[in-house]
Amino acid sequence: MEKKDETKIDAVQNQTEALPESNLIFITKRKLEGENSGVDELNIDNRVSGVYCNGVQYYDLNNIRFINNTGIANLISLMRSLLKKGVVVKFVNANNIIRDKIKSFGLEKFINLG
Amino acid sequence: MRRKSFYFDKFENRVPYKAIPENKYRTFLFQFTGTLTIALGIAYLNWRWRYSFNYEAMWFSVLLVTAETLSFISTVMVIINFWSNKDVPQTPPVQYLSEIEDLQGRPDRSIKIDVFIATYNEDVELVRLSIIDAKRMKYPHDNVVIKIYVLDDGRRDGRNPAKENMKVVAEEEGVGYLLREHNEGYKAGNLKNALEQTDGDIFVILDADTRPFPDFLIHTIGYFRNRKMAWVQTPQWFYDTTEPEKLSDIISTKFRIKKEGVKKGVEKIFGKIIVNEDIYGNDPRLFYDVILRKRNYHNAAFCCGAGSVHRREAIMSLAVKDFSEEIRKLEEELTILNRSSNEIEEKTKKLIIDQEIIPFKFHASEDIYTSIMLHADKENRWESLQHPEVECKMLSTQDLDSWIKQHQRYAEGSLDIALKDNPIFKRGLTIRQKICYFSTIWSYFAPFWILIFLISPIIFFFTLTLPVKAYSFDFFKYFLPFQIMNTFAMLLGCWGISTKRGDQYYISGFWYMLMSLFTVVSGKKVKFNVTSKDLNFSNNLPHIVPHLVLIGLTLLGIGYNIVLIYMGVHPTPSGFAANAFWCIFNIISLSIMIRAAYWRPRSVLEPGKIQTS
Repeated sequence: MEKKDETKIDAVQNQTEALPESNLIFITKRKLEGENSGVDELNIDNRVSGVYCNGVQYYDLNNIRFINNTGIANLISLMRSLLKKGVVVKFVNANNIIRDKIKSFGLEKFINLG
Repeated sequence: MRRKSFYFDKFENRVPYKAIPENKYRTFLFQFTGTLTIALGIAYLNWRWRYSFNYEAMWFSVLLVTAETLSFISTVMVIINFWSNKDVPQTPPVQYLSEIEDLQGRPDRSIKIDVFIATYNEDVELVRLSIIDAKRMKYPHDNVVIKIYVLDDGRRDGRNPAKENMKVVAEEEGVGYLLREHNEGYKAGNLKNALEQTDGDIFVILDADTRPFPDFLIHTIGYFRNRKMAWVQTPQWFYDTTEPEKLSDIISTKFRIKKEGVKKGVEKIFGKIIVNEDIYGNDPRLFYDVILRKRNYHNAAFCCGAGSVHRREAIMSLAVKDFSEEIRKLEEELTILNRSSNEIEEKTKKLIIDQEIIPFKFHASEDIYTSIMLHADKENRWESLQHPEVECKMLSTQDLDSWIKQHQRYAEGSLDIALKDNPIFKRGLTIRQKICYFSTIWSYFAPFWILIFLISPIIFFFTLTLPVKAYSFDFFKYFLPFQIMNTFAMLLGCWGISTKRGDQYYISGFWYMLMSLFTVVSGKKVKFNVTSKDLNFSNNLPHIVPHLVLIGLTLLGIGYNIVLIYMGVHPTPSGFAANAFWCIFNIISLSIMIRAAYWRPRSVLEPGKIQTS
C-alpha cells in the first residue's frame, strides 16, 4: 500500500488542486519543523506536496527531515481541519525520526503514516 | 505627548529586595529544629488524643484536637518543603539552538525568543508601560530574534469605539498584536492562541502590568542549557504595596485635628507607632524567596504565570500528550464496553475533531495545574526553577474586594485540582513533589481548623466547658516545647522574613477560603476572575461580617467571664486566662481584614479609578 501511495505522490507532485477548493489546506515544511511564523504559505515551494484521491488527502513527508513537538501539534491541527471537512488524511514517506516521534506520543494509531 | 499618570507613579523608584543568600549552617539548624518540632508535635498530639480529653465534653475535645492534628499535618509538610535549598548557578545567555536542544540533523540557528503580554481589559496606557519596558530588555547576541506580542483577549482592535484601542498602542510601539474572537480557556486560551501563531523556542509570559527589568532575559535564558529545564519562574515583586503610616498622622487626619498644640501632643504619644504597611498583605517575598525557592530542592517549584520563561518544546509535548491521552482513553473505554470497531472508529474520529491541542491547561489555576502535569511527565522528567532575584515589577490589588476575588480564584483553582486530579494520586510525580503540591492545596483546607481555633474560646466563654481536662502543668509541658520549637523552626525556615502579615491573613482569610470550598464542593464552575489593579474602593462590609461577629462574640464572652470572676463564681479562672490570651491572637489576626476593608490611601481624597494629568 505504501509503495502504491508513493507512486501516486511521485506522479502528481504538488497537485493539491486535486482537492476540492473548499477543502484546500496547505501545510508548509517549516511548520512541521515547528516554525509557525515568517513562512510564506503561498509559495508553493514551501508547501508539503500533497494529492487528493478518493476522499483521502495524501501528504508526502519525503523532504521533512525532522519534526518537533510544535510540528506534531501542527500536523494534528491539519488532520483535524481536514477531518472536519470529511477528508481522511494520510502521510507518506515519513522518515524514522518522524515515525519515532509520533510513536513516542502513542499517536501512531491515529496519525496514518501510510 | 505627556503620558497618563497613575497612582503608582510615586513608587517608580522603589528598588526590589535582594534574594537572601544561602547559608548551610542556617539550613542545618532549621533541619535540626524542624525535626525536633515534628517529634515534639507527635508527642503533644499523642498526649492530647490519649490523655487530655474532657470526657464531659467529648465533642468539644475531639473537635479541637482534630483541628490541631490537621494543622500539624500542615506544619510537617511545610518543614519538608523548607528542608533545604538548591539555587542553580546562572550561566550566560544562550545564542544557538544547539545549546538548548538536540538538533537531530537540523542545521543550527540562533534561538528565537517571544515575549507575550497577556491583556484583557486593562488600561491600554498601563499595557504600554509594560511594552516599553519589554522593549528595553537587553540581550548580548544580536542574531537572537526577540519578538514582543500583545495578546489581547478583549478584542480591542478598534471595532468597538466604546473600548480603548489596544491594537493602535501595539502598532505605535512596534510590537505584534494577536487577538482571538472568543475567551475560551481564559488566559490559558489566550496563550494557546499565541503559541499557534508564533514560534519562539523560548517564550516569556508577562501580565498586562508586568514590567520586566532590562536584564530579565540575560539572567534567565541561560538556565535552558539544562535540556530538562521546562520553565523558570522569577519572583513577582509588587512595587506598589502600601507605605507605612504614622498612627499620629492617621489620628490627626481622621479627627481633623488642626490645632498645632493638639497635633504635637498626638505626635508625642502615637508618633512612634507605625501601621498599615502592606495593609493587604500583598508582599509575596516570603512566597517567592523562601517557599517556592526552596522547592527547587524538590524540583517542585511551580509556575505562577507572570514573570515566567518557558521552553516551547516542553509545553507543546504536554499539549500533544494530553491530546493523545484523551483519544486513547476513549478508545479503551469503548473497547471495554465491547463496541464495534466501526463505532470505535467513528467516535474516535469525532473526538479527534473536537479535542483541541491545549498547551496550558484550561483551568482557573492554569499555571500550577500545567506545572503538575509537566513534573509528572515520566518520559521527559521536566525540571523547573524558581529564580531567586527579582527581574520584573508588578502591581498588586488595591482594595479588599479585588484581593478577595484574586485569592478566591487561587483557592478555588487549587481545590478544584485537589478534587479532580489530586497530585497525591498523580502518577509520575515523585513523593517529594507530591508533598509540595499537596502542601499548597492543603493550605486551602485551613478554614476547617482555623474556624475551630476561632470559635473554641467563644464556646468556652459561654459554656464554661474546657476542651481539655485542664490547663494543667501536663498540658503546658507538652504544648509549650512544641510551640516554642515550632516558632523557632519557622523563624529559621523563613530566613528571618517577617511572617506577621502572612499569618494574619492566613487566619482572617478563613471566610473566603470557606466560600471557595463550598463553591468547589458544590460543583459550581470555577471562574477566572480578572484581577483589578485599580484604586476602586467598593463596599467591603459583606467580606468582614463574619470577622465582626467573631470579634463581637469574643469580646462579649470575655466581658461575661470577667463578671463571673468578679462575682467569684467562675469555675476555671485559669481556663479563662488561657482562652483570653488565645483570643488576643485571634482578634489581632481577624482585625487585619477589617482594617484593610476601611483603609484608604490618605492621598486619595476622591475614590476614583486613575488620576490623569
